[in-house]
Amino acid sequence: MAELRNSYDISFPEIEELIFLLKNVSDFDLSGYTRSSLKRRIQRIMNLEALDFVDLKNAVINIPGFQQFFIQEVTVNVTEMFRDPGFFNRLASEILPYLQTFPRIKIWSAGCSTGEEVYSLAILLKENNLYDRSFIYGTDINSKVLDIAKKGIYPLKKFKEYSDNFNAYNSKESLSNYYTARYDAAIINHDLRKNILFSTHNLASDQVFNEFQLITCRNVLIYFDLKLQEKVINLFYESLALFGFLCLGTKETILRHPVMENFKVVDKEFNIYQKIK
Amino acid sequence: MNKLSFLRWQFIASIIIAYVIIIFSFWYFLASQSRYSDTVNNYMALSQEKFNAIQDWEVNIQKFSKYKNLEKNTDPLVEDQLRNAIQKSLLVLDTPNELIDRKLDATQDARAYSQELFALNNINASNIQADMLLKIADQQARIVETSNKLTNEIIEFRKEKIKKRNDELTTSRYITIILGLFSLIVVLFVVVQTMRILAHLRKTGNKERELNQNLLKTAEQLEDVNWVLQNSSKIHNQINGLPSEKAIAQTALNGMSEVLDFFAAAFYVRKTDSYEFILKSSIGLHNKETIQNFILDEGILGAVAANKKHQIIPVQDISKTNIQTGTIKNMDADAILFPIVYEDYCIGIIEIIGSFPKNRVESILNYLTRTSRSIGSALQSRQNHALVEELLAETQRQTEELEAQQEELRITNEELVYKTNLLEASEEELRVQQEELSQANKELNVKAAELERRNLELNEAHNIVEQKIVEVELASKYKSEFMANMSHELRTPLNSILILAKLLQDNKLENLNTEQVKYASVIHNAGSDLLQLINELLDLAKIESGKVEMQKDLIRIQDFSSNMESLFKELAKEKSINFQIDIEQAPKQFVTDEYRLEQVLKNFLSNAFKFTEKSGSITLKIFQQSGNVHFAVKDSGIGISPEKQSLIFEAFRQEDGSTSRKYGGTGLGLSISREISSLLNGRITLESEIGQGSTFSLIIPYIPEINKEEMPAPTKEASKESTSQETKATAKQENIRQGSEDAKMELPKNRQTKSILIIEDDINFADILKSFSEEYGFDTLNAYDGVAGIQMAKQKQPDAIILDVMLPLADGWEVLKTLKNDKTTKHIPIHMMSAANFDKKDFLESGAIGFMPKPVNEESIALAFETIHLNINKELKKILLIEDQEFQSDLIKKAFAEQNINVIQAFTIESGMKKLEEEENLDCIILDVKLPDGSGLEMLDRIKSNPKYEKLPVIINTAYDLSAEQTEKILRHTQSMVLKSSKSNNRLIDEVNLFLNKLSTPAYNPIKNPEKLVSSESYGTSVLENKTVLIADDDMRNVFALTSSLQQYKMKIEIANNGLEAVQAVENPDKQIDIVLMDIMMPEMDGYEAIQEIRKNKKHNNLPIIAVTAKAMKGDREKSIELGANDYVSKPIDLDRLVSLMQVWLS
Repeated sequence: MAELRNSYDISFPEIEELIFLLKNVSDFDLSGYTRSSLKRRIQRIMNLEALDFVDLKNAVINIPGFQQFFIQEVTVNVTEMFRDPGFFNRLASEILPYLQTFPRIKIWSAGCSTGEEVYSLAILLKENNLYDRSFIYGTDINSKVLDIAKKGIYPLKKFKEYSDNFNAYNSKESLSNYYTARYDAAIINHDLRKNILFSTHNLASDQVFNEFQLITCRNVLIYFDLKLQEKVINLFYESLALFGFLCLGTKETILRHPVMENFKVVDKEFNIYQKIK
Repeated sequence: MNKLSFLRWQFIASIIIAYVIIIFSFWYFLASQSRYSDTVNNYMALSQEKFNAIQDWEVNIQKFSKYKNLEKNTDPLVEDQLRNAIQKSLLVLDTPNELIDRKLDATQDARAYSQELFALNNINASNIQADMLLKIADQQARIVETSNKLTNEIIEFRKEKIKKRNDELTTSRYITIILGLFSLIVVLFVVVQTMRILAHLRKTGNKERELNQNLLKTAEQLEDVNWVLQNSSKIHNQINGLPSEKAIAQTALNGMSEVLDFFAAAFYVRKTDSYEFILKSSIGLHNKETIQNFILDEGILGAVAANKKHQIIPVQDISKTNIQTGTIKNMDADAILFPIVYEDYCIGIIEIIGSFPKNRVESILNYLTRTSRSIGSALQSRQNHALVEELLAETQRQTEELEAQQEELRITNEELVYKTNLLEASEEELRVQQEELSQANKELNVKAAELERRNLELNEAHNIVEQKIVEVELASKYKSEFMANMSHELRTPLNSILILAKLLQDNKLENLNTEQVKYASVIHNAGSDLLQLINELLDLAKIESGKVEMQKDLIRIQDFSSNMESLFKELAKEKSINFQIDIEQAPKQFVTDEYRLEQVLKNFLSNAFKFTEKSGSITLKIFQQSGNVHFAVKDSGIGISPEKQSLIFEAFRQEDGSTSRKYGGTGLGLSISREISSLLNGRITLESEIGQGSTFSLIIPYIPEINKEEMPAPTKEASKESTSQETKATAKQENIRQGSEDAKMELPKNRQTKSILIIEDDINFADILKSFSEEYGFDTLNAYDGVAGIQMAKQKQPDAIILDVMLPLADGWEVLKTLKNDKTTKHIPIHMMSAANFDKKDFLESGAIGFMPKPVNEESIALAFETIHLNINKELKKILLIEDQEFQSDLIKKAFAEQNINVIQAFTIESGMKKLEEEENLDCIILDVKLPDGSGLEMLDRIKSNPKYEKLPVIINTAYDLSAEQTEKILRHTQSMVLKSSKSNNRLIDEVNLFLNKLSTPAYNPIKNPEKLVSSESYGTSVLENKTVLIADDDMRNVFALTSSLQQYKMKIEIANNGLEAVQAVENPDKQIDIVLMDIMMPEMDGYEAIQEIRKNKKHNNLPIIAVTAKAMKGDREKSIELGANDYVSKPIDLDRLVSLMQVWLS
């Protein structure tokens, strides 16, 4: 048992220093992230790697690949298939009938992490016979998690939980129709992976890259401060086709932002908005 | 020894001598014997020879005698022959031999007799027989006598000779006996010698036997030892390395049983580290009664084990033991209890029972001792081994256990790590959310406090306001009630008064004098004034309450002025006032609410006429000035003092309270005018001096044509309402009713302007319709047959027509066709109705706006009037809907009616095209893809080929999935498309509203500075001219923006929707791509891959590729260059930069 006093601490001014440093030596700009979350995450890295602040700075500057690692560890990657089954229910009942009036459905899952949500959406589309004219872009700042997402292979034990979620969303079918299990892992079926593109995209710095009918960005904005949130929501607004939908996490809302006047609230519980202007 | 050899020699020599003598005497005896017999035999033979000769002689002599006696004629030859034979036999008899060494005496006789016979010659051949026979018999007797004599003589000889020989034999016998005796003596000697040798031998033999006995004994002993050793080592080998005690015991017993002939045996082994011995193996024992185990020191076995000394127990009665035989009950046996001791520790006991010979006991014990040692060590090592094994197994088990625990731990650990991560992450999320929440909470709290304070204030104010509102409402209610009551009460008698007055005034019976007619006209005028007053009051009240809706009418100044002129021409003439309308500086046409404008100007003018003395002048000047239209009514009347100028606009105020009496008028006109002017977004100014006349001016904004951007306020409200009501897809009926109610409320102001012609032969129903149409705010005209209907429509130009189908003179179809073919009536919307069953489509195709089936109900009438209202209201948006399915078409129409949008229905391409030409100011087309007379896509091409409709938005509404090419083709014409689905109508309305509102200034412009486009044309961009650019992008907005921008540089554009298409386009030699704009994030094949793929072909090494990326990261951008792009631009695209980049790469 490591001694408790061996834990490392970082102060808010030091975080600012680190953000500044990182911005200068790399393209990663964490200045829009909430400080308290950053503090916890960075402290975690320091404890994990047994680095004090000086070591950390040194590592950021001098150790190749550390920046990437640092970003990977700072960002929180929690996702699961059919997380919040109610949300998917709502998507299927309210949003898809509208979406199907578009000749091509382009979807952006921003901050897709290891891709479970992207595949969940693919399953949803498949079930509604829309997959063939849909295309899903999954993006994340973290290229390592995208590698996992591209493979579409997940530990089998996770699928128990996913199946529970799936059953809560749709009790008729079985999730196992959509993956093949072998050994202790399961791979998402090939035909579910064809209309999907995973790519890195930094919400904080990158620009509009396509026009979408549906954007999901769930539980990402909570890590951003108000300014960055506004920037990102603007980015979403610009990326949405007219009458396209924006889905945020259950705790996220755009009500506080001026861009809200261009949106209509479709679902208050799951924060689904439609662009109307 | 010498003696023995000497004796032996003597013995051998005497034997030889004896043998020689015996053999000699034998030989001698035998030889003399044979000599004797030979001689005797010879004598026999010789005598036989003589006998034979005698016989021959006898025979021949007899023959001869007979021959001589019997034969008469003797043959000398035969006689000779016989004579010779006789002679010969006589010769033989005479010949001496060994036996007869002298001439026989009888021979002489024979000879003599023979001679005698010879000498008798043919004695008598003819002699009588008897003589002769006697002679012969005589002769014969003599012959036999002679031969007998001869034979006896020979035998005598032989006897003599044999007697001689016998004597000789007897002599040799004696000799032989003597020899025999001698040999006997020699044999005797031999015997003696033999005896002597034997005696000698016996003496030495005894000694040897003694020696041998000793040797045998030692050999036996040796054998015993060997046996013991061999067997014990055999067992030792057998039991070595056996896996269990039991196996050792068993093998040991088996081994012993082979060696020792025991009856039964038991093998007890001591349990490790205990005093207990357990039977491990047994042979020949009765299992049930065998002692399975015993404890040290208990019983004989225990004692033996404790003493570690073997014990032999003799057994007499075998039945008392634990072994059984089928036959024996009583037998001697010994039981041997033998402890197995290893290192002074009794490790086991072997008990055997058997009938052992006494002399074997020792060696058995030896064997047992020796064997027990190896068994003991084997057992010990076995036990040790077992212990070790057990320990090892234990260790193994513990290791496994450990391993398992470790594994479990690892799993738990993994789970823990995973859960920790999960927890951490979700914790993080939670925390962030919490923080966010608390932050929001804080803000909310502050705001809440603020709100509360304001709320309180508001509440207070609200209370006051509410109170006031209640008061006002009450007052307003009273007022409305009063107004309603008054207007009703007043109008009812007024109707009669006016009609009657009019009748009187018309004086059709001509029974009134002019004076009376004049009275009647006064009554009529006064009534009309009163009615106008009432109407004005109501009007004012309505305007004040904001219930009036402004219309947008296009006003042609020429028509307008002539209209105004005609209105006041008579009056001017009457008062001989110079009335002029000046429209020189007026715009040719403008947009405003014609009715209201007229109302105001009429008011101004009538006021002017009122206050202008005879032969004065009144001018209406209409002119355009700084974006406004001015309507100035100038009079040369009494003028208004500046103090009063502000007063006159208040209701019931005139310049002077006394004025009314002098000039009449209600005093409401200006108030209403002022209200109207503000409704028209204008104002009223007044310039006046006492005595100099006054100028009232209405100034309204100049709107050259009906502009959709400036929607009248209520429509705007309606559209806003519509978007917010979208989710209320249900309860449509309600909405319709609500809508119609709204219409009812809104429409009455049209009462005097909008007219409707009802062509219906059923008078009663015509009346009902009339009352309805009035309720909906129409002036109603009635025609009761088709011809009259057509005429009236042409004359009165009603705003709308309701047309029955079954009509006298000309039926509804004819009327419809006639009216639609007439230029003057073509525009009038016609709503059809019929009790007969007609296909609604046909009417709609023929130009009717709707069809109402009979019998009607309130709802269908409401619907009809709503349709009419939508059609006559030129302000409303018009949509051409081309959809072959009537139900779907109606559904859409209904949905749009709710939004105050007029839908013109068409069911085929042809009728659609016709309507497109007929209808003016269509705002949008909704087009189905599958139509009875062709594809909607063809129609789209036809519509778009007409430049008039190029900018007219078209929405494709289809249930079918279109191919990618079709979609692309459609998207080239219009920017939107809809598919049928449950929610499709919502989307349709969204899209239509979007077009109608023209609010579609795109939220996101893919090009940063489009305004620079125009200016950039000025400087040299000829490099780009006629070059082909390939735009590879998935984002249609980007493609559109780039296409339209780059087309201005006269570039040829190729489009690829993904990387794969881009590569194919580059590889296609027909396309001759000069430069590529490559987006990075694309489906199928992303930009990076596409660039690499293009660069693989060396031919395209020099093809400039510009990467287009949304990414801000330096690394991402540089990656594209590394992979082969020549340069990159970021999204949103800076066109300046892009154009200059392209120039660089193309020059």
